Amino acid sequence: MSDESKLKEIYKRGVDTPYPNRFSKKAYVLDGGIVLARPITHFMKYRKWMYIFSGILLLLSCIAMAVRGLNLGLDYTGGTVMEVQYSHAVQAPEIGEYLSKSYPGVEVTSASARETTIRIPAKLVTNKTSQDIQKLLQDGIDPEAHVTSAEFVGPKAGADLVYAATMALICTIVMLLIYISIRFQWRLSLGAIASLIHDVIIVLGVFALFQIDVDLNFVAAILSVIGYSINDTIVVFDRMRENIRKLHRVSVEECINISLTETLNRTIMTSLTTLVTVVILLFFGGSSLYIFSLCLTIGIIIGTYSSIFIAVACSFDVGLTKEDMLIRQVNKDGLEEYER
Amino acid sequence: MELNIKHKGIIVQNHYPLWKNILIIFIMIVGSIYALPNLFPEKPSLQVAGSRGREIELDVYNQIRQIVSNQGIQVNRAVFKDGKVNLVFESEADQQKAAAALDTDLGNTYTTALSYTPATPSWLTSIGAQPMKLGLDLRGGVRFLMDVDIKTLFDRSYDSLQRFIRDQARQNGINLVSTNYDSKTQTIQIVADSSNDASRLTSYLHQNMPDVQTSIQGPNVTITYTKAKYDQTVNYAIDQSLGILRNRVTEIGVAEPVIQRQGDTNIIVELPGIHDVTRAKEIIGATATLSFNMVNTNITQQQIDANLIPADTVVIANAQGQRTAVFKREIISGTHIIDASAGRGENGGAQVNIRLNSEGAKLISDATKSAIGRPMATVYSEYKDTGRKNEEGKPILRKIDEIANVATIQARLGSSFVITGLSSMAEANNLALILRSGALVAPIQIISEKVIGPSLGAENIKQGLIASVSALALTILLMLVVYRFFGFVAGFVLLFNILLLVAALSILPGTTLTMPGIAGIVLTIGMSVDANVLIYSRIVDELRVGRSPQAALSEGYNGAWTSIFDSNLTSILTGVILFIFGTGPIKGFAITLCLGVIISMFTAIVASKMIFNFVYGSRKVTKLHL
Repeated sequence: MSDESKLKEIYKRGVDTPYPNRFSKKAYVLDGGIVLARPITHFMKYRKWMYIFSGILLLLSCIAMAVRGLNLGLDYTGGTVMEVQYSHAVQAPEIGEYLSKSYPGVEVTSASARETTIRIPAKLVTNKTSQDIQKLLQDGIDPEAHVTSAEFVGPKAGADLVYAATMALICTIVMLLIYISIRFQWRLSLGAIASLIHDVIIVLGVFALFQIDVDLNFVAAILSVIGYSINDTIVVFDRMRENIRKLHRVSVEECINISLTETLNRTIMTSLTTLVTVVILLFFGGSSLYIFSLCLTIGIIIGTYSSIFIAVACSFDVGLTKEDMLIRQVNKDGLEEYER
Repeated sequence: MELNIKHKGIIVQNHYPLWKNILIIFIMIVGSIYALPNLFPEKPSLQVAGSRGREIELDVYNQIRQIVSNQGIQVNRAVFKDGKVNLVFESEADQQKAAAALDTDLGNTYTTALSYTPATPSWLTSIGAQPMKLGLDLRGGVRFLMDVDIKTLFDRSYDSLQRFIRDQARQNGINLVSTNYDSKTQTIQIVADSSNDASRLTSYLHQNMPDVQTSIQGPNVTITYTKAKYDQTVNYAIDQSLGILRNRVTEIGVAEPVIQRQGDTNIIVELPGIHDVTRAKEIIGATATLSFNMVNTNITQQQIDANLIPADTVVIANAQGQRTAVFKREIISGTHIIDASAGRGENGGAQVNIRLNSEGAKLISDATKSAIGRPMATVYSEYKDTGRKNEEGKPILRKIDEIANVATIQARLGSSFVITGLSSMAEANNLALILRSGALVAPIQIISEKVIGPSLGAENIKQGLIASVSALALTILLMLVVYRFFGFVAGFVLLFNILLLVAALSILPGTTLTMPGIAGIVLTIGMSVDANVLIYSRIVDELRVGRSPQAALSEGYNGAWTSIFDSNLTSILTGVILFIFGTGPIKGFAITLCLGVIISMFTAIVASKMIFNFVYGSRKVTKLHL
């Protein structure tokens, strides 16, 4: 069906058209009528390096998770977290020492010069813990210390959350597997899922490496990252599907290179616009959204990378062919036909 | 879908029919109107209502106004409607002062609730426009997650069932060696005298107790509730707990509380705007108890009125104010009651059947040896906050007793007994209800609690606004730089996207704005521009190939559609999954995201096309300002 001829990469600049504009004048034109914004980037040729790079990242992430472990936040382990504000600057270690006499195992970190976050493990917590601690602090550190917010999670509530989070993750991945298989092809869905799992593991690895709290919002962020990364991937797949139908005398590998080159601009631009908003959330969203925004920032960057370099490469390596991308039809004679 | 319309003999591209343009503009205007209320901030207010649903009279309304002005507090607005009074103040300090004054002066018959009333002008409220409801993390308040202890419920229930089966077996001549309730497996284990006895037992149970299922092995019988009965009991316990919590929350005095079931055995209670969390906790977790005390029939009504009562007796009033003298020592308390149901007795009179646990059965059997035919009072006790504190700063609780019912003890059968003397089936039903609710069939425990101080709430709102506005500005800037005029159009429709999103969140019932919700709005800003980027990239591709500007514009929109549809659909599906598995604030995020994406499909595609049609359509165009 296809003559797998090697594409002669001789470019002619500028398109002959009655409607010249700044894009057509700077276009790269290939034999066979392919018009591009830039010369073809041979993504597939470099995929070995990409695999190695991703492999290293994945390995580092797994090591980080195994060695340092994920810092599961309050939502999962149970306990009390409270924010305390003081009338003057305080040092977190000092306060930690002072409180650990009555609450061994307490963790105190500085949220700002005059605010601390205090964490108390579940077994030490009673109904009145926040008042007790406030009183302790008022007696010993600062008479104007007051608790601005307090959250208590019992261990049972935590276990339920872990369950819900895992279920949500599994459901999403399954849903996407099915959706892409239907809309495109199963090999593509494998590639997409591979890139997703790659993203999730690396994000988790970063969080494990820097021991950042993993809380309830984190799960929402991971799911958003997944949803977002898939968008990029779909844009590329869509273009590939279109090109395979259009370009008849081009091999699959070249087709993929062309599609990726063509969609490079829009993939980067869409990621950039979302990245801008997420980074703003990171700086201005307040402490409650910090983890969420951080997860999204890392996720979008990695997700864009994986959509371009990993997703399609994986699909190709599990044996993607041109026939896969076309819709099969069985006509009345029982013969298979390909819709072009 | 390319519209090739012939107009004056020329093929016209990029043209929307008039009705479509008008519809789009209409939607924009309506959206803006419904988003308007959010510009008017809420003001602290007090809602005064009669307790237990009583309505307020006009003279009480005047009294309220008087009390407040005596304190020197200025009222922004006072509304007397539907038997309730709503007072709006300028500041929270005023609100608190007035609340304290009213609490002391009005007494127990009225409840005052702290609340926020939106200052929306009346012409907006008349069309159903209202501002977005703010969640807990933006307004301050407390959120409890409560667990209904189903295990204890079933422990009690099985225990009484086990005794009941044993009694029934004995009455029917089935010989049992032992009956035992195993709380680990939650099953009743019975060892019968012989296999014959065992099978007689199972057939008896099959016939007379459809709620249980049995499994038999030689002389051993294992009994459990059927799944249907189990589920029914759980649902019943949760519903009952919801009801109890609702009553208690009304006592606390918070307007717009949220009390909802979550999952199988959990309940969420959200109290926005509450300032005294300790008090809330005490009331929500407080026990209402029930006890049965014998009436002291030796005391006459005159003695009660003159307050001449002996030391072992106490006088308690019922809801209507009638006072009865009862012995202080209770016979059984509400915790001994497993179940209470109303029914008709042999002589056709209304009666209540009460089933007790093993401990209660013993107690009542001892007490009623001499008590059959004598009157017994059901006393309902609640612990209420007096508003005063003791020297440790803890609130002083006052025990308030009320007589629910005085009835006659009739027959006693093992672990259940019957009280009669009720005037009607209605009264019997009511008493059964009180008995069940006072018994607190399954204990409720607070397993997680989150408190947000009000200042933090205001801080969060400010942060959220700064974040949204900056995100908007930067995104529009980015689009302008890369896509010039087209970027400007993208920014313009983005603004409308946000407007429509705000309007949708305002009028949709049940949606509250939380910090994750704001995150969702900011994320939507980034994602809705994506559709425009896809379309414009497509248009650039077409221009590069050399298409005419009109064709490029039209092809751009057509070609990009499948990509936009696929990627937005996956986003929506992800949002739906998040909504299903998420709790509270996460649900808010999921809703905002889904709504934002759907609305963006409208604004980014249809609305922007309309603008381009207006600028470029049906004319000869040499270049697109891209």
